[in-house]
Amino acid sequence: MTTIQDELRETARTLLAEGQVDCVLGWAWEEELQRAVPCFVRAAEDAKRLIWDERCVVSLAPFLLHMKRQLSSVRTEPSRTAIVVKGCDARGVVRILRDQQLERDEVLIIGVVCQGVGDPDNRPAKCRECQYHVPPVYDLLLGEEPKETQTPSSPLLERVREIEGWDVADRASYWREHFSRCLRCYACRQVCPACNCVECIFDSERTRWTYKRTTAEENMIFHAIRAFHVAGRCVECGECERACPMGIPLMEINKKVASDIKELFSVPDAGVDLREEPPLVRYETGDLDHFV
Amino acid sequence: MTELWRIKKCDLPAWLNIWREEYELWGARPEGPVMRYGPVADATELVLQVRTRDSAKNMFFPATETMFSFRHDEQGLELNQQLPELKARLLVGLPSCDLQALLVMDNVFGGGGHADPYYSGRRQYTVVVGVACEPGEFFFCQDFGFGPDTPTGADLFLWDDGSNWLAQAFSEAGARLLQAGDWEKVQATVPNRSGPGGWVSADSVARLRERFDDPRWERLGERCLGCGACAYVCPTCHCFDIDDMPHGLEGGERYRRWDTCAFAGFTAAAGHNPRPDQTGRIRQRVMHKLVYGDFRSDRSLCVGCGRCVAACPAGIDIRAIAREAVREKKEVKAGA
Repeated sequence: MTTIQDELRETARTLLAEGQVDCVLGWAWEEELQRAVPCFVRAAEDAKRLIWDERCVVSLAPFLLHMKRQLSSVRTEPSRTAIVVKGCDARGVVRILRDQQLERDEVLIIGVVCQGVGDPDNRPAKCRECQYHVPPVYDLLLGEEPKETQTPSSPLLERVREIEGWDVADRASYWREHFSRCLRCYACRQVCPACNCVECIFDSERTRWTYKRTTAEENMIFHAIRAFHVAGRCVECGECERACPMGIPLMEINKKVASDIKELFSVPDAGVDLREEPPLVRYETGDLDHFV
Repeated sequence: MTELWRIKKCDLPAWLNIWREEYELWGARPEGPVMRYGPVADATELVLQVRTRDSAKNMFFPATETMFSFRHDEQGLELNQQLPELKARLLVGLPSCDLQALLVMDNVFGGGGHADPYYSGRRQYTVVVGVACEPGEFFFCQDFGFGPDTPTGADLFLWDDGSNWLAQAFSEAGARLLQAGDWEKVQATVPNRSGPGGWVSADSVARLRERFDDPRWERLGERCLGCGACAYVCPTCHCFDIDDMPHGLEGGERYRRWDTCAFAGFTAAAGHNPRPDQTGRIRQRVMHKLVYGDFRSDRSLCVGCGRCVAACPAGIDIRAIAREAVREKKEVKAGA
């Protein structure tokens, strides 16, 4: 039987051999680490290193942008990169393309049909509520489209509703406690496909929106600004929470904002359409507030 | 101080609690979903033989601290140094790697004839109780010449002996701690297990040193996303930046905060960035940990705790980089 992984390796090999792409960004298994890690395949004979199965937890979308920016600092000719995406990762790629950080023809999207990643008995929250087993955007699709899909319940949204029910003081102390652990390593920002600003305001030495002191107050400002910056653009990939070494439940905030945006503006999920216009990015003369 | 004492494991919390009047008790305990070092009210809260998510460096070298405050008015400029409050602290449960790391940090902040008053102030009044560790995922301490039973750096060290601890003091302060209990003196040989290892060797360090321009750094540079998770969980990464926090127009405070060579803006000044791409940045971190060492001693800056390996969102593994360095080029696959 041909598996998706077999198909993927053959596809990558062909794409590289025929010169259709310079690089295939996929996952490889690191035995000693016991983890699937991002792998940049540039030679057709190395396509056999690629894997696809439920160990492929990491989203490759931020690596695509990072790699392209690294290359653009040393090389000028355009290059086309193929990226392997699960449904959630595809939304990250849409985010990067829609935010015009890469040109559409720089990227070839290889979608894989995904039934969830990680430990089958303890799937990440995003998998338990996944509606995108088939990537919403792709150039090539590997795997069979499932016949029927049902909209699953969202444990994360239930958690958000629970927190909404607390009084303000309890919510403040809950977040204060979590944010007091933040070391400001910026792992959340670096793995975020929506955090694609070339220069982040938190790195700017001139504008003083916030200070880099790791007090609970400054950390709260950092996380609040980040949540608002990705509002309506967050693709809910959950990478920020996965990357956080301090175990801060960042997706509880992002889910809250995402669900509010959907309710307020009646928009589809972010990152499912290359023509999408995130509501907080678009301005119409008929908007309720005229502050813009 | 060469005597060995047997302490029943169940007696440990009560014994440590005796010292609470004199010392603030610190050790590993849960903070939300992660294990970290911090103060505890009661020794029963301490979790021993657990790998904390980050190191104990925060205790001596906080992620942020004010160094001095300043004020300028008609009378002139006024500076007030803000030294840390000197509290006696009893830090319980450091594994051997974190003890080694403390020695590295002592050298950084106290060596060379100049003591950093902020670090040294806290360090000087801290008594450290080391505890033998249960090596787990990603540990590679043996590569640095010590194992899970190595007591170097502790005032008092506890070896695991089933339902007992075997305790030995290595300083006056450690010996004094033992006096508070009526322990049984024993004749025994303390455990001396080997730790996990086999990644970093003299050969791999030498090869890395020669391979500053190796194209493999570029492969790592495109994978390293430039966060500081590795450096901030590292027990020996000690870089900091200094910044001012204004309080109105007349004054403010000067603080320092952790910084890392993995960040894009690290040491950038006057429009010049000495490491303009991530290739140079990840190379700097790996080289500094494994090759450059501490210029004041032969001690490696990496102690093999494996925290950076566990924390890296990109799965970059410093152990694998070292091992990879000794492989011949022809064996190296693209993307490795």
